[in-house]
Formats: sequence, C-alpha cells, structure tokens
Amino acid sequence: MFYSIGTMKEHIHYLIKIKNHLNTHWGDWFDGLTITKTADGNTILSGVIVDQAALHSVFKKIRDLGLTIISVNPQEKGE
Amino acid sequence: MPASLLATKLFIPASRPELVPRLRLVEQLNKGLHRKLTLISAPAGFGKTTLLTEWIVKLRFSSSKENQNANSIAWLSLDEGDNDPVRFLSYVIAALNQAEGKNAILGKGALSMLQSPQRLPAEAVLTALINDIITIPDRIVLVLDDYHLIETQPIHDALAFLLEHLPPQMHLVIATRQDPGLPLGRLRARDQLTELRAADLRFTPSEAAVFLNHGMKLNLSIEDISALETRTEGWITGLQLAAISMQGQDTSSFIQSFTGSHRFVLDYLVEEVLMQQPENVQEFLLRTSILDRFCASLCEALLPDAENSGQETLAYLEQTNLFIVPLDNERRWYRYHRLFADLLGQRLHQKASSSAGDDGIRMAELHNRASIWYEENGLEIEAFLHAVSSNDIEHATRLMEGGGMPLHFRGGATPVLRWLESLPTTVLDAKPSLWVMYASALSMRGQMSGVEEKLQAAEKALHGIEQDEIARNTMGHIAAIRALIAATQHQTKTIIAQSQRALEYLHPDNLPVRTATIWKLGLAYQLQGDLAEASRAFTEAISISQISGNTIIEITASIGLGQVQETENQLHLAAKTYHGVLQLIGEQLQPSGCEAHLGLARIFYEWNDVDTAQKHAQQSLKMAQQLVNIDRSAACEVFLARLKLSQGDVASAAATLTKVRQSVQQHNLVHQIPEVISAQVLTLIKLNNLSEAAHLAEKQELPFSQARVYLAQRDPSAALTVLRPLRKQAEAKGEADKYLKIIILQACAHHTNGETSEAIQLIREAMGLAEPNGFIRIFVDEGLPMAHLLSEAAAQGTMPNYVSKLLAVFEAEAQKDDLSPSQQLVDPLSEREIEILNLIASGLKNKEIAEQLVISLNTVLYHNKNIYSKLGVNKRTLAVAKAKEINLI
Repeated sequence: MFYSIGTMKEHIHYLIKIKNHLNTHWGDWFDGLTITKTADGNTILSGVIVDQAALHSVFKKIRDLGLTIISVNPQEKGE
Repeated sequence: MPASLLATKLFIPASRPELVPRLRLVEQLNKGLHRKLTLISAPAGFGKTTLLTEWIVKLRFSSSKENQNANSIAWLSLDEGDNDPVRFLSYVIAALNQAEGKNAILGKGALSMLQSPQRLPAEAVLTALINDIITIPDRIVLVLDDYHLIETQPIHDALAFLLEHLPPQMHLVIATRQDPGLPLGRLRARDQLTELRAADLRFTPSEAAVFLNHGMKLNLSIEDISALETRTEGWITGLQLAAISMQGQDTSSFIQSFTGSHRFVLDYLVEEVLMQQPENVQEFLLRTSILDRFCASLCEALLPDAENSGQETLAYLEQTNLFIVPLDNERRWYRYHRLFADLLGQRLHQKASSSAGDDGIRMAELHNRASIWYEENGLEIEAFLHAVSSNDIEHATRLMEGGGMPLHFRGGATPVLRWLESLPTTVLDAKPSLWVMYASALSMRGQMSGVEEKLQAAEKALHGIEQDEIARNTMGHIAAIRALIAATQHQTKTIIAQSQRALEYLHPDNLPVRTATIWKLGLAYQLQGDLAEASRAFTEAISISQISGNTIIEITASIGLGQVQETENQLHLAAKTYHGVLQLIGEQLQPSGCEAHLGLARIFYEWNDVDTAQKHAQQSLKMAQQLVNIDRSAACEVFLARLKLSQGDVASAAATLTKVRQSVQQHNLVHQIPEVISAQVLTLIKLNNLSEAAHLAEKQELPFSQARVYLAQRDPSAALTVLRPLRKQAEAKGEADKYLKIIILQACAHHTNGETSEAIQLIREAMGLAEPNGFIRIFVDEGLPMAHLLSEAAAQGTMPNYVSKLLAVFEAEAQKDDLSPSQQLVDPLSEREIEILNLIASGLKNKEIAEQLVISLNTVLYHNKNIYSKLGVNKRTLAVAKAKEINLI
C-alpha cells in the first residue's frame, strides 16, 4: 500500500547521505546514528528515526555543522 | 519585573582589521537599504556576521561624511532563550534604544505593555513601537543575527506584522542559517527583499588569494590557493582554519595532504588546530564550550584549578584568532564562533562520556558551576537553563520558583514550559509542586485548556503523601489557580470557594500567592455586590502587597477599592485611591491606568470640575487606544459623550454614541450596552424625541432611563412606579450610589406631581448624603425643575449653604448658555412653550396669542422670556429661526 513518508508512520529507518567523510565519533552527536564512509568519499548516516520531529532535529544538526546533504531515503520494512 | 537583559547581546561585534574587503557584497547591502528586508541566509561559517560588521563600519563612515542621511544601527544577537515573544520584543526594543543613544525613549509604551501582568496582543505592542519609530528623523537599521535559533511561530508572525507595517525610515536585516518563517515569496514579488546566499558569500578565488596571502600573510602560489579554494568550496571557515593550521608549518605538505583527503573539512582542520594548542588551552576550550557567552570570571568558575587565569587565556585566544568574538569594547565578554562552539561541544561530550566515572570532565558538574555563577551574578534565566542542563531538578526548581515570584512571570515562560514538558511524569509525580508550576505557567500563557489537567495530576500525586507544610501549600496553590480560572469566567461562587480554600492551605509566608488570592476574593465580592466584604479584601490585599513589595497586586486591588468607594459615594476617598494608583504606575502603560483616569474623570465631573474631568477621560481614552482595549475605549467614549451632553453639545454626543454602539455590538461587548443606551436615552430626551427615548428604554429594560423618560413626558406617577422597586433593591444591597440617584429622581417626580412636602423631604435626605462628598452634577444635571425644587427647599431653610452653592452652579450654567448659544437645548421647551412658539411662527402678536390661549399678556411675555433663554436668543424672529433649525416646530 502506498503511503506518504512520515505522515503517520513512525520508527522509520533512514539513510542520509552527506558530502565528504565524517569522523565516526560524530555518532554521539547524531544521537547514535551509524556513520559509514562510502567509497566515493561521502558518508551515510543511518538508523531508526522515531518521527518527523526527530528527523528535523537531525537536519538541524547537519545544518549547524555546515554539512551538505546529498540525499535522504527512508527504508520501508522488509526491504 | 522581567528577568534582566544582557547588554552583550546588543553589542555589534568588532570588525577585524585583517579581513578581506568585500566591496561587491557591501554594495549589494547598500542598494538593499531602500527595500524593507535584507536576508543573509547561508550555512554556518560563511562569514555572515563578519560581512555585516564590515558593512556597518562603512555605513557609519559614509553617513557621518554626508551628514544628511544618518543611519543608526540596532543589533541583536539571538539565542535559544529568545524564543519567548515577551523576551524577544523586550530585546528588540532595547536594541533600538541603544542604537538611538542615551536619551532615546523608543517603545516606552510598548515596553510597559510587555511588562503588564495582562497578556496583550503582539500587534498592539508592535503598533505602539512602530508609532514611536515613525517619529525618528533618521534611518534605523535593525539587525537580527542568528535568527535560525528562533523557532516560535508567534515571533515569526510578529516580525511579519512589523515588516508589513514597517516605517519608511526603518530597515530590517536578518542573518540566519535557514530561511525564516516569513512571507519571503510575497516580499520578493513586491521587490521588498534583498537576498545574499551561500553562493554570494563564499570567497571567490581572488578573495581567497587576498585572504591567505595578505590577511594571513602566507606566501602561497596561485595553484595552492586554487587547490584550497576548490577543497573548501570557498567556505570561509574552512579557509580560515586551514590558514591557522599552516601558521609555522610546511604549507605545501599540508596542502597536499589536506586536498588529497576526503575527510570533512572541519574534522580535518579542527583536529589540526586543536592539536597545536597547549594542553591547558585545550582544556579551557573544551570546558567553556558549554557557554553561550563568557567572561574571565565565568570561565574560571568552570576550570579545574584556580591557577589558570581566565583573562590571560582569553587574550591568548583572541590573539591567535581562535574563533572567539568579543562582545563589548572593554574585552570583558566573548563568545565562540558558533560553529567552533558546536565542534568543541561535540568533543567535550565525547570526552565526558568516554571518561564517565573517573575524575575527568563531567558535563553536569560544568553546567552546575555555570548555573551557580549566573545565579550569583543575578542572571536568573541563564542560571535556570544551566541548572536544567545539569539535570539538577532541585536547583532548577528553586530557580524557577524564584522565591515566590516564579520565573515564568518574568519573561522565562518559554524555557520553563519547555523544561516541564521535557520532564518524565515520574519526576513531576515525585514533586507535585512542579505540576502546579506547570499549570501556573500555562495559565500565564493563556493556555487555559491544559491547566485543569495538570492540577488534577498534582492532586493525584499528592494523594497518599504526608500532609506536611509543603504539601498543604501545594494544595493551597492548586485552589488559587482554580480561583484564577474561575475569575476569567466571572464565576463568583467558585472564585470565593476556591480562594477561601487556598487561604486555608497556603503557607503563611507564601505572600505572593496569598495576596493574589485575597485580591481575587475582593473581585468576587465586588461582582456579587457585597461591598463591605469586597472593601475588606481589597484593603487587606493592598496592605500585604505593600509589605511584600508586590506592586502589581497593589495596583489592581487599589482599582477595586476605588470602585467600591465610588459605589459607597465616598468620592474623596476614591479620588485619593485613584491618585495613588497613578503614582504607582508612573510612566507605565497599563489597563489599571485607564481605570484610574476614568474613575477620576467621573469624580471630577461630579464635583463640577469639567475641565479636569475631560483631561482624565481623554488620558484614559488615549491609554485604552494604545492598549487596543476596545472595551475600555468604549467606556471612555460614553463618558466623553455624556460630558458633551452636559455642555449642550447634543449633536456630537449623539454622533459619538452611535459610533460607540456600533463598535460595542460588533465586538460583542454585551455588558457595555446598557451604559451606551442610557446615554442615548438622555440624548433623545434633550432632543425632545420622547417616543424614541421611551422605546429604547423599554426595549433594553433600563428602569432608570424609563423613569427619566416618564419625567420628561410629565408623567410623574409612572416614574414613581418604576422607582419604588428600584429603591428597595438599592436599599437591600446597600448600593449607596444608586440610592442617591433614585431619591433625587423621586424628589423630582413628587415635585412635578405637586407633592411638595414629599419632594422637599427627599431632596433634604439627598443633600444630607451628598454634601460631605461634594456632589454637584447629580443635582445640576436634572435641570430647571431641580433648580426650582432647591429654591423651595432653601426657602424652607434646608441646608442654605449647600443649596446656594448648587444654585450658583445653575446660574453659571445659564449664563454660559447665554454667552455661547449652543446648537441644541440643555433645557427642553415645555409643550406650552412649543405651542406659543408655533403661534409666534404663524405671525401672531403677543396680544393675539394671549387671546387665543385665554391667558394674560404677562403670562405670554413670561413664556417668551423662557423660550428665548432656552433657545439662547433675544428676538422673536431669531427664536423662530432657531426652533426651525433644530426641528422643534
């Protein structure tokens, strides 16, 4: 069934791609999101984000560090 | 009494000498001045603040040179604590005043509205402020830095309102990391917006070259500069960190490894920079990173030992360009560059969590020390915020309670509510007084719907707890808040029951809540008409609030007392009370000021000092309009209309009343309608339009007005029938003011009815009640019949001094009418006089009139004299003309 991202559904696993390699110790700063470096020189922040408000708080932290967002992808269950 | 404001937030950061001149951007900012808003929206580290300081220096220089179009700059550095509309607007006003110089009193009215205990719409505050700004001769630029920290919609709305009504001499600049919640699309479409974004702000290759080689004195090749520029994408903070890292290093190997890395620029460079610092400096940086701003003594409070001098380290940091920004000219207060502070904070967090348990850095400990420092230095909101960050619930609670005057009554409602919302219910349940504070803060914000729920949670949490002093005080506070909610809904019985419960349970030393509760009790008794109890409660509230210095309650309780004194006919006492209120209020703009002025207007009018009455009423009206208080404005306008009526200006009184009636109906101010209609009935009686007057009085069920209409219709028995039950009612309730009015009307009615002895007896009683308080108008406004009655009373030797004083006023009124014939009649013509006037108009001579009416010639001449005097003329022809003019014939 089709649903729009995050309207009602909560606890979605997100993949947020960020430009450049981010040091893994930023994991705490991002409330425990996993930091993975990609081969193309970028970083993926991944983990379960409880709701839209929490997602925006992650965006705010990204903003405050001056990081560049490349993409944001929610992963549906069972994928 | 708002919590104190920090002057450092208003300081324009110093412009650094070694910076790269950014003429193209300065030019764009200059051009933007004729638009409403300049928006500088870019991520952290793009030099937004630095650009603004450079521009401001140039702007000041050029305006001092031209000396015609002076610009003053108001600067406000925002932080998270400013998410409270009251605090935000207080800072904006403070910034504007600082910009305008020492003697500026901009936004004085707006500020007192913000400090008023009643919540006022932001539009009203801003309108008052805008009206002040319009009077400034020169241009004023308001800069809001770090606007992304504002997340409260009411503040965005207030700013949108300000932009919509921006005075022509004002310009707004917003620097932010994200686009603000303002109608940017509309502003763009109307060409009212100038935007500078990341693409505009980043260093061009040539700017990077100037910065690295000239500013930072590195001797780099064009290739190296280009490599750095590409790696950092012109990001200024990146280039700055790179330049600092390269000081005293082999630049080419640094550039090689830096540009060859995929690592996030900041990660790479901050490590480089920090590693170059001595250990004690690293420690200093980490520990102080929890502070939004700092001075040497605050830093020392956070350091592990007293050996490190805060002042020296700060000087060293400034000298080595380690991202610290001075916040004043004396180099006392500093803050870190925001991005750097975030990075340090992250490192501190990491270090604290990895060393948990041992004697390394503990976050809670640092926040606790900061909180104590702020508290000792009188900055309560900052102290509270750090206590919250240290998770010290006891300490945060104590700061929130503020020794009886809670922080949420002093501009701290947002952080207080945010904290209480964040606490788990188990914590609140363990400390039921927190639930009560929660309810109190919500009610202070006007969020009444959530209040009862919190109070019930408090009661549930109290259940089963030992009833010690603290628990009992909490129970008292719950009842006090319930009484407050009932007061907003005028539920007198609930107010009284809850207030009495509150007073029983509240701790004797809890004076702020006790005083407010006693005042509410007075209000309830006043609403119920129990004047003695109301007076007792107000007097008690006043005396306790004087002891505890609670001016707000002293003022509101005094207004209540003054009104009770008026109802008791104690005009001298009431006037004294109102004057006291005005003294307490001083220059502030408060609804209580309106009440006091209007009360004085009523009293001075009664004393026949019409000029003073008018001045007070107009002052009251002005205040009510500034407060956008339609209810009070209407009350003032009705009073002023009655004043006009008494001066014979019936036409303009009628026009005012029509206008007020529309406004009152439009805003559904039901309780004002009887006042307005009564005044309209008086106007109609003066215009001799008795049928319409009777219709209005009957339709609105206004017995006083009905009695007056009957008297005007020469039907005294009907008037007496209406007045009899009214008098019983007033006697039963002890309403002295109504009683006096009633017996005066009864006296008039009996007099008209030819029952002279009853009339004299009543007027004698009335005078006995009225004389000690100097009543005049209550008699004089009844017109000629009253003058006759008083003369007869005097003839019988009743209170000769008072009567002659009153008759002198009648005399003066009559003379005034002769000197300046007013357009309308103070004293309506009798039916006989109108009859005679009609005969005059038809061309009959006096003798012919006498014959036709079968009266003597002398009687006709007597009537003529009265007609002339009432119409303010001295000839038959003029009398006819005047009578036609006002549609009498």
